Amino acid sequence: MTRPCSIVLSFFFLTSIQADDAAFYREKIHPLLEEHCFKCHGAEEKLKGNFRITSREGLLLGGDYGSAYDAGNPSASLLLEMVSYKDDDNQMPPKAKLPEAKIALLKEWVMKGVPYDPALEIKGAATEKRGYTVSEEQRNYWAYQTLRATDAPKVDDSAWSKNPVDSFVFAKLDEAGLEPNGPASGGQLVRRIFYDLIGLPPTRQEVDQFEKAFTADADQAVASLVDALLARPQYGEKWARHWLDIVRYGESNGFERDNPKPEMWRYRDYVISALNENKPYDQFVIEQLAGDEIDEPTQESVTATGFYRLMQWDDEPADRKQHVYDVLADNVLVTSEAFMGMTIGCARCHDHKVDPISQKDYYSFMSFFHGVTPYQTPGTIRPWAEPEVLANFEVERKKRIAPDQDKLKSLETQMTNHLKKVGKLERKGDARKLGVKTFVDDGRKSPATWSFTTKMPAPGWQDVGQVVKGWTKSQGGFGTKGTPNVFVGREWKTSDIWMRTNFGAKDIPEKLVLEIYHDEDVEVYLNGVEIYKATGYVNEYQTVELGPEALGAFQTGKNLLSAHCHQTGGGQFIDMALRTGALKPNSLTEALHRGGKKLENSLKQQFGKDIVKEWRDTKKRIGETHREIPGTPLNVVKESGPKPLPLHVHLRGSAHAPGDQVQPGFPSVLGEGNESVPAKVEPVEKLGVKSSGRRLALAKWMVDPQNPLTARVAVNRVWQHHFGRGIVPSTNDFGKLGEDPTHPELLSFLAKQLIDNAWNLKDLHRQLMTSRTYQMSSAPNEKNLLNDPSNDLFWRFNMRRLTAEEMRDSMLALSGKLNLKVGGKWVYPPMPAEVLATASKPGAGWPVSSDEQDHFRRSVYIHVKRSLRYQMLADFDQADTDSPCAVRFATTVPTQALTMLNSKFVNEQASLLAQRLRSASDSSVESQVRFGLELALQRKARTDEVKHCVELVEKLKRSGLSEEAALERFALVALNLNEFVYLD
Amino acid sequence: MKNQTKNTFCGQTKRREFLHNVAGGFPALALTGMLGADGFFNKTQAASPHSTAYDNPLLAKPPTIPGKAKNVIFIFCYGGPSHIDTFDYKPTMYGMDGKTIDVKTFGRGGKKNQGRIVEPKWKFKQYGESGKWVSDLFPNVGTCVDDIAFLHSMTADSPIHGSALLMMNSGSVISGKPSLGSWVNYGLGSVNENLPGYVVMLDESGGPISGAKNWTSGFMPASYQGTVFRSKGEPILNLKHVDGMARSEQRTLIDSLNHLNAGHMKSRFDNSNLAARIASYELAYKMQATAPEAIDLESESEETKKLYGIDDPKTEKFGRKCMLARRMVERGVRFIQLYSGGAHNDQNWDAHGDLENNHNLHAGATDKPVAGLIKDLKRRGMLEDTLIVWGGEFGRQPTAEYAKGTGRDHNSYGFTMWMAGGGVKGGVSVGKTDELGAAAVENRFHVKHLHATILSLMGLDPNDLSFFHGGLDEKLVGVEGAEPISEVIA
Repeated sequence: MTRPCSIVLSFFFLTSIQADDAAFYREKIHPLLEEHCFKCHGAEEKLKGNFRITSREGLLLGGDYGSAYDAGNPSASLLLEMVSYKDDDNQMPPKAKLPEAKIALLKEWVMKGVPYDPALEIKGAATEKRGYTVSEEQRNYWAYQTLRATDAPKVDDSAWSKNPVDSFVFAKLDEAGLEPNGPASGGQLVRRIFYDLIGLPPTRQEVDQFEKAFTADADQAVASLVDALLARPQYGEKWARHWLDIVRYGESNGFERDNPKPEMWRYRDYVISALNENKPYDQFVIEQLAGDEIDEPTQESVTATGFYRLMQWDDEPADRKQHVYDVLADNVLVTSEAFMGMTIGCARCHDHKVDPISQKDYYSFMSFFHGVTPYQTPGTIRPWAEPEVLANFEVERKKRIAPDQDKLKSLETQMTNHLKKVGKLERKGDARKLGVKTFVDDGRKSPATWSFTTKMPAPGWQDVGQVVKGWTKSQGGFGTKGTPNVFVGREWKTSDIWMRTNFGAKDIPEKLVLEIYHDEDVEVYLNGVEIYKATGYVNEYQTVELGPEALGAFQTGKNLLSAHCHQTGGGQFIDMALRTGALKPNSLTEALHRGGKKLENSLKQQFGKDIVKEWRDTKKRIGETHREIPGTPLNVVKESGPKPLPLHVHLRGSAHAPGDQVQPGFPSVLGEGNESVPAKVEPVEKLGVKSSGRRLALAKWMVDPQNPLTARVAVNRVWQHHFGRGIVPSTNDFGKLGEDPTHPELLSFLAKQLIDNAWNLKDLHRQLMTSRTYQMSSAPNEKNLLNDPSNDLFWRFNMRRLTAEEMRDSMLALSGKLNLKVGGKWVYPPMPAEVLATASKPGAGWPVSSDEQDHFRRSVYIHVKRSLRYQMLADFDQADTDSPCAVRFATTVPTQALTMLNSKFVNEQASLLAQRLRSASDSSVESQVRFGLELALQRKARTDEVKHCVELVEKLKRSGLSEEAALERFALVALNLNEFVYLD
Repeated sequence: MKNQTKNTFCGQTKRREFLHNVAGGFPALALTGMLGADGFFNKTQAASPHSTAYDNPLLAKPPTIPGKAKNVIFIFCYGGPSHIDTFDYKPTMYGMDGKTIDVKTFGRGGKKNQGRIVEPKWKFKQYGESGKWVSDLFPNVGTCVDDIAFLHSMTADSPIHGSALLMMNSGSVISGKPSLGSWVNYGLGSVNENLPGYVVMLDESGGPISGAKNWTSGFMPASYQGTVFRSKGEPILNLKHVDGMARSEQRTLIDSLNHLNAGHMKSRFDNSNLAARIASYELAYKMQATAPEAIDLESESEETKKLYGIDDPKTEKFGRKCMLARRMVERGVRFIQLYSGGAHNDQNWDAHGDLENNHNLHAGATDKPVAGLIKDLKRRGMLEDTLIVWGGEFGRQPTAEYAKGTGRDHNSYGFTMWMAGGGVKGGVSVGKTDELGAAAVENRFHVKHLHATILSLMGLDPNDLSFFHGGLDEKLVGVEGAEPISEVIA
C-alpha cells in the first residue's frame, strides 16, 4: 500500500482525502504531465521506454528502467530522479529541465503516493507485453529444426539428374511445369567455372584445352577443370573475399586517425590458406572464435582470432564505456549473422520485434565475449612462437643484453659522478628552490597515495566520476621488491596494474611535466583524457613535457590522474610524478637533454672520448633488443583472465543502465524454455595464457551437429556464390524478416551432407558445379520468364557481373601485368590525387608501395582503409567495411563508365594490352583486334566483330591517331564491353 | 501502407522482392526515353517481361508528405563555430572576461566543472524586422535574418570531431550509416540524371576528418553516395580522359561499344542490367558536357559574382562554391553539401588557439558568399523551395581551454544552427542556452530533430523513411524516431 496510514482512517475521512488528492492531481499535476510527459508516454500511440504515465497503474509498473515510484522510499522515486536532471544520462523531460516550482509539485505528489483522478486516467495497455516467451510456432520455424537425413526426390527424368542437387531442382520445376534450360556451351562454362572458382579469366590455351576435352567427355572435362582450379592458390584468394565481406574486414580503425591495424593482414592470409587447404568448415569456425582456447593452439589457429579485431574502433570516443560495448555489440552482430544467419544484433536495446530473441538472450550471447580485452592503439599483439622458443628467447635475450647493461651502468656511473661533482645533477635539497609545483609526487621524494587494482576493472575506470570498487590504497612506487635505486611502496608482481590518485589545483598551469618510470605499455590519463602512452620499459625516471591535450584536460579544483601499466614478465615497476616543470636534472638523460651540446662536449673533454655517443648507442641497442618480439606478432584476441567481469542487460542498449545480470547462454529459441540456454564453461590455460573458456564453449556449440543453423548457413553461402543467390536469398538472415528458402529440402540435404562429409567445402563445390543445374545455359525463355521471372526455381543459370576485384584483376591479367604473388602484408597501389584530397590529411595514410610490382597484386591484397577506400573497387560495389555484407549490390551509374573510359588505371591497362596485341600477332590490324577480342571475351571472335573493330581502328587513324594510339583505343573498348564484365 | 517509400525499392512494395532484386543485381538507370529514340531497345523492352522490373533508384519520386523544399544546401562549418561569438547573443558575458566560474563542460580536454570565461570577442547588432542579434562576424548574413530560423538549443552526442561529424552527417557516432544526402536521394531521387543527385564540395585544404565516411551511403547501394565536386578544373573524378580525348573520339568509342554491346544483348534481351550499363555510358557522355557547364561561371553577371564575393580574393573560393550550389539547384541536384574549412587546426573552425584569428578568417571567407546565396535564391524565387542549413558538428565552450589565450574547446551540450528557405519560417528563434551558452536549457533539440526537420521539409516522413538492413528497418533518426521541430516549419 502506498499510504499505510489510510488503513486506520474512517471511511468518510478516507474518501475526502481521496477527493482532495484527486483534486490535487486534476488541478496541479494533470496539466503539468499533459504538457511535458503525455505525448511520449501514453496519451498518443507512442510509449517511449515502455513507460505509461497517463495512468496510476502504468506509473507504478514503470518502464524499461523499472517502477517510477518507490513506495518504500518515495523521495528516491525514479520519477523524481529523472526530473532532477542530476544524472547526465537520465533526464526527463528531454527538452528542458522543469522549473523548480513544477519539480516541487511533483515531489509533493510523489510524497502523497502519486494519486490520480480516475476520471482523467488514460488506461490502455500499461506497457508492452512483459516477460518473454517463445511460442510453439516460433520454435517450429524451419530454420530451427535439427537436420535429419533425407533422400533426394525421385524424378522421372533421370537423364537430367547428374546428382542429387538436380533431383531437388528438377522436382520443383516439374511441379511448376517449367522446362529447364539446356546446357551452356563449353565456352560459356569454362569462363563461368574460372571466374566462380578463382576470379580470373582463362587464357586462350586454357579455353582451347577445355573445349577440346568438353567435346570428348563433357562431365569428365568439367570435373577435372573444377579439381584443377580448386587446387590453385587463386581459389583461396577469390573465396576469401566472400568471407571477408561477411566479417566486414577492415585493416584500419576508422574515425579521426584511422590508423592501420598492425598485422591484421595475417587474418586475411589465414582465411585464404584455410580455404586453400580445404580446412573443414567446423574447424574454420572454431579457430576464428576460439583458436587460442582449443586443445592445441597453433600459430594459425591463434591468427584466426584476429576475427575479433576487424571492427571499427574509436580511439577517442565521447563515451568510453559505451564504446567498449559498441565494439562488443559489433562483434556479437557479426558472429551471429556470419555463422548462424541470425540477426541477434537487433535485440541490443529491446527484445527482437519479430524473431524470437529476447534482450536477455542478446546479453547472454554477448557474455561469451565479455572477457575479451578492449582493443588498443598499437593493436592487441600477441607474439607467437613455440613455448620452448619463447622461453629460450627470454633467456637468450637476457644473455645478449647483459654485457650492454653492464657497460651502460659503468658509463652512467662515470658520468653521473662527474656531473654531481660539478653541480649539473640534482643533489638533495636544491629541488624546492626552482619554484616548481608538484601535484603528484614520486617515490624519490614524498610518494603520492594511489588506489590501485591488479584485476581488470570495468571500462571507464580512468574517468572522472566513476566509482571504483575493491581497489586498495597505498603509497606509490609499485613493483618488485628490491628494484634497485627506487622506492617500492607496494609490491606488484602480476602482469597488469591500474591506479588512480586525486589532487587539487587552484590555477591551470602553463606547463605540465610528467616524470615517469614504467614497464612496457603504459597509458596515463588526466581526468579521463589520455595524456601519455609508451611501449617498451625504461630503467630510470623519464621527464616528459606534456602536450596541449594534457593542459586542456587539466582543471581547477579536483583532478584525477590515472594509469594502467602492463608487464609481460618479471621485474615490474611503475611510479610517476606530475609537476608544473621539471626539477633540476635528476637523471643523466635529463641533464643531457637540458645541457645540450655544451654539456656533451665537456663530458667528451673530461673522459677523452665520445662517451655520450657510446652511452646512447648502448642504450639504443638495449632498447632494440628489448623490443624484439620472439616469433610472429599477431593482432588477435586476448582475455584478461579466467573470470570476466559480470555483465548485465543494458537497458535500452545503454551501458550506463544495467539491468539483470546474465551468464553466457545460447538463444532460448534453440533450447526448450523461455530463458537462454546456459553454456557449460570451463576456464582454460593454454601456453601460459589464462582465459575464460567461454568462446570455446560457444564455438563447440556452433559446430555441434545438433545446431540447426551453422551448416545450413554455410552451404547456403557456397550456393549463393555459384548460383547468383542463396537458396535463402537473405544469406545473413534466416529469420522471419529474411526470405524463405526457395528449396528448403535441398538446403537441409546439403547441410546434413556437409556435416556427414566432415564439413568438406571443396567437395561441396565439386558437387554443385558438376550438377546439371550449374551447367545450364543462362539464356532467356519467354514462357519461363512469364511464369518465373526472377528464376526462383532455377530454370536457368543466373548471369552475373564481375565483382569489383574480378574486374580489376582481369584487366591486369589481360594487360599481362598481374602479379600472382600469394599472401603477405597489404599493398598500396597509386590512387588519384583527387581521391587523396578527400582526406583531412591529403596523401597521409596512403604511402604508395615502393615496389611497382606490388601495384599489380590481386585486389584482395590492397589495403582496406576505412575512410579512404581504393576508389575503383569502392565504386564497383566492394563491400562496406562497417557492417556485414552478405549480398553485394551491383549498381550501375555513369561515374563507373567515367572510370572505365577515362581513368589512368584502365587506360594504362588498355595501352599495355595493345602492346601485347602488337607483339604477339602479325602486323595486320585484323589479327591484332581478333586477338584482343579473344583475350577480353575468352572465345573466338566473330567475323563481323573483327570487321567492326578493324573499321574502328581505321576510323580513328583517319581522324589523326597513330596506329598505336588507335589500337590502344580499341583495347579500351574491349575492356569496356558488356561481355567482358558479364558472365553467362 | 502509410508511406510508399517504406520498404519499397524499384517501385516494389514487398521486402521479399527487394531482396531478390538485390541478389540478382542492382540496376541503376532507366533507359526509358534515352535510347528509345534511335529504336535501339524498343524491341527488347517490349519483348521482355522484365522491362518493368528495374528502375532508376535515383529516378525522381514524389514526396510522401507535404513539404516545400525540393533541394538542400548544407553549409557545413567544419570544426565547430562558436555560437556565442556568432548567433547566440550573451549580453551578460561582456565584462566577465577572465573570471573563473563553475560550469560543466565536456570537450576534447575531457569533462570539467570550472573554467575561465572568455567573453564573446565580437559585438552584436540587431538586424531586420525581426530584430535578431548577430555578431560582427556576420554583417552580411545579418541582413538576411528575416529569412532565417535559428535553432539555439542544439545538442549532439559527442564533442569529439570524428564521431561528431559522423553524427551530424549520418545520425550516429558509429561509422557505417548512410549520410543525410543519401537518405534524401533514396527517398526522393534526383531530377537530373546528367549530374549526380548528391554533391559534396570540399575545402581546398582537404576534407573533413574521416573523409568519405561523411558522404557515404553506408549500407545502402553506392548509387546514393555523395560525389565530390571540385569548383575549378575537372569537377568530377575521371570526367576527362587521362591524356585528353576529343569529344568526337569519345563518341566514336561509345558508338563502337554500343554496336558491340547490342550484338551481345540480342540473345540476352531480358537482362536489364546490360541495358542499364549501356545507358550509363550515354549518361557519362552527357555528364562530360553538363558538369563543366555547371561549373562554368562565364554566363553569370558581374553584379551576381559580386553579390557572392567572387570579386574579392578573401571570399572568392567560398563564393564560387555558393554560386555553384545555386547553379546545381537550378539543374536539379537534390542535395549539396559545402564544407567551410578542411584539414586540421586553424584550417577550419576549430578555434583552440586564437579564437579571434580563427573566426575572423572563416567567417570572413563565408559571410558574404552565404548572404549572397540567400539573396540570389530569393530574388530568383528559388528560396522557397531550396532549404539552406548552416552549422558545424558542435559549438564551442564559453570558457578558455588553456591557462592563457582565447581558444575555446568543443561543446556539444548546446550550440546554434540555422535554416533558411524551403518552407522554414523566417525571423524566428527556437530554444535557448544558459546565460553563458554552456548548455541548452530550453527546448533542447538533438541532431536527430534537425534531421527530422530537414526530411519533413523535403516531404519525407522521418519516422517512416526506412531502409531494411541487418534485420532492422533502419532510419536516419534512429529506430526510436524523432519529431521535426515544428516551431520553425512555416
